[in-house]
Amino acid sequence: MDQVGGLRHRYNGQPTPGPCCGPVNRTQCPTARTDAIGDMEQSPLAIYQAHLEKGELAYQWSPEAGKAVFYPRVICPFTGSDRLEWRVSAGLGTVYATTVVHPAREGAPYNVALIDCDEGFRLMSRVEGLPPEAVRIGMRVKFRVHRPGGDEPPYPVFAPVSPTLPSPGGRGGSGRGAVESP
Amino acid sequence: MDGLQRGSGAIVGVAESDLGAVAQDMSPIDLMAQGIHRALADCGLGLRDVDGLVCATAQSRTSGLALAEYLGISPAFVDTTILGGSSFMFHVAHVQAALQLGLCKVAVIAYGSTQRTIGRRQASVREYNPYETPFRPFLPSTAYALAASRHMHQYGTTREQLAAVAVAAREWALLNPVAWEKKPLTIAEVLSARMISYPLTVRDCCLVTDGGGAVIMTTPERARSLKKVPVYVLGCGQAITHANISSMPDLTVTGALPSGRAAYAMAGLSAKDIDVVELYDAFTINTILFLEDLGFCAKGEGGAFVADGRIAPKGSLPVNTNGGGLSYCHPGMYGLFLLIEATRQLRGECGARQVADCETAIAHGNGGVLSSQSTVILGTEATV
Repeated sequence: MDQVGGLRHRYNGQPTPGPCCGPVNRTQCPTARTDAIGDMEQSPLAIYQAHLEKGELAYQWSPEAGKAVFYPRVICPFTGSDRLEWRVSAGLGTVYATTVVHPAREGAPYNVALIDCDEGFRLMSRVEGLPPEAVRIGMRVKFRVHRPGGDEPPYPVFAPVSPTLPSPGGRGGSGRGAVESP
Repeated sequence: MDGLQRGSGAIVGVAESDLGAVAQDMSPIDLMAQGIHRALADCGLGLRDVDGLVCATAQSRTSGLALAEYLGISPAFVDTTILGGSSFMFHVAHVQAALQLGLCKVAVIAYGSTQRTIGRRQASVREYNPYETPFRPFLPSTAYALAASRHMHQYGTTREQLAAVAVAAREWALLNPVAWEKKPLTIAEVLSARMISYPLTVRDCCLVTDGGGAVIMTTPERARSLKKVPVYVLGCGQAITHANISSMPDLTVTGALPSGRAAYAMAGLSAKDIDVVELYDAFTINTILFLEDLGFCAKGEGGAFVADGRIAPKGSLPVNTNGGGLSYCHPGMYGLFLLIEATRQLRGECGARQVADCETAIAHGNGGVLSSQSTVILGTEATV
């Protein structure tokens, strides 16, 4: 059961943080209890979504690889280690790729984009607050949480930030607003 | 691939099943069986000779069991590796290994799909992904559109260049009597067609058809005693880079690069030695990416490379000579048809679309959303 013991090991024998805990808070969380036989009190997805409930975009950090890991997992894809720390993103990123989906039957066209966050991880999302076809590769964007309601969990979406903010890494583009047509 | 010997396996029989829109209530296993029957007839072998059973379909969870029962055989070697549309190239390498080790003597590789008849959603159920599904990507098209957006951004590739891939495929399809599409296509028609996921219109996307087929492989010794001239497996390569498009390391560079390198190294050949090129063209951007990654042009130059009819029937590089997934047939996992067409070209059986003096062919398979890449290099007796 090596692979499911990872996060417990990382958190020094304490359950992983639940919705009431900070992202790297290692104190025991009284709400994080399951009937699981083994060490894993909460799935990586549950922890990620608990952060979203609080309005935070969480990701994992592999201290051995010195790299961000996304989507959240039980072991690190760079090293195979089960030492993964949870961190909260500053929520700033750059559009890496973008498309506009045109539904076949009903509904307006909508944006789907890949965002490179400044901490060095990429995720699928959409850019809101402008027409979907106006989203540009290289555009600087900022995270906010979207709450669809009902039984659906919250998820991260992005909106353009001031076009003057520089792109620190330049992985996705120039940091200026519009670069060219996707 | 280390351990595989150049030319240690041969393709001796190939056939398509019924294609397009097949008879009502045909099953994927019916189509596999039909393809196997025809491919065995192609090489003069019978079911009693088959001791290796290899297959893949999105419509049967345990297709190896279903097919073995249907055929009434208990095979010595079975492989039902499923990695998307490239599965059949992976199968070729696995069969070659099995032949080298003596695990089987005659293997069939089979495929069947009725996705057009029963609907794509039913034929290939999408798994829920909490990190992608909420954003409603129209998969697989949206993933390939994202890759196209990045290629256009980095290299200035245009929608017209993407459309040129679809037009070239259509020109080849018009030379193939069993191709689905029967009418010419222009760049303007591709651009003005219904948008699916920008920049890809419905004409940048593969067909949604039924279809299946089979490929028969055996040892070189056995192959030389059969009906048709053998086609030898000279090189195999493979690479898996991701499963979901949000985890693809670089959307402009595919696993075809390492896969192709491995296949070329095993074959002792390079791109300039290849006479006919069969690439998995589920979307127009695929052909451009694979031409680059397999060394037919430099990275970033794929758009310009295809723009002037170079890959069309009268061009200098014959690519997707059956009309491709874009205009001939695409039942969801298209890779097997690339092997069938490459084999027929090397045998000189392709009639109006036959490439002259064809001694070497590359059949490159793609699976998932640019996720799994597998390359097979084939050659005639003269190349072994």
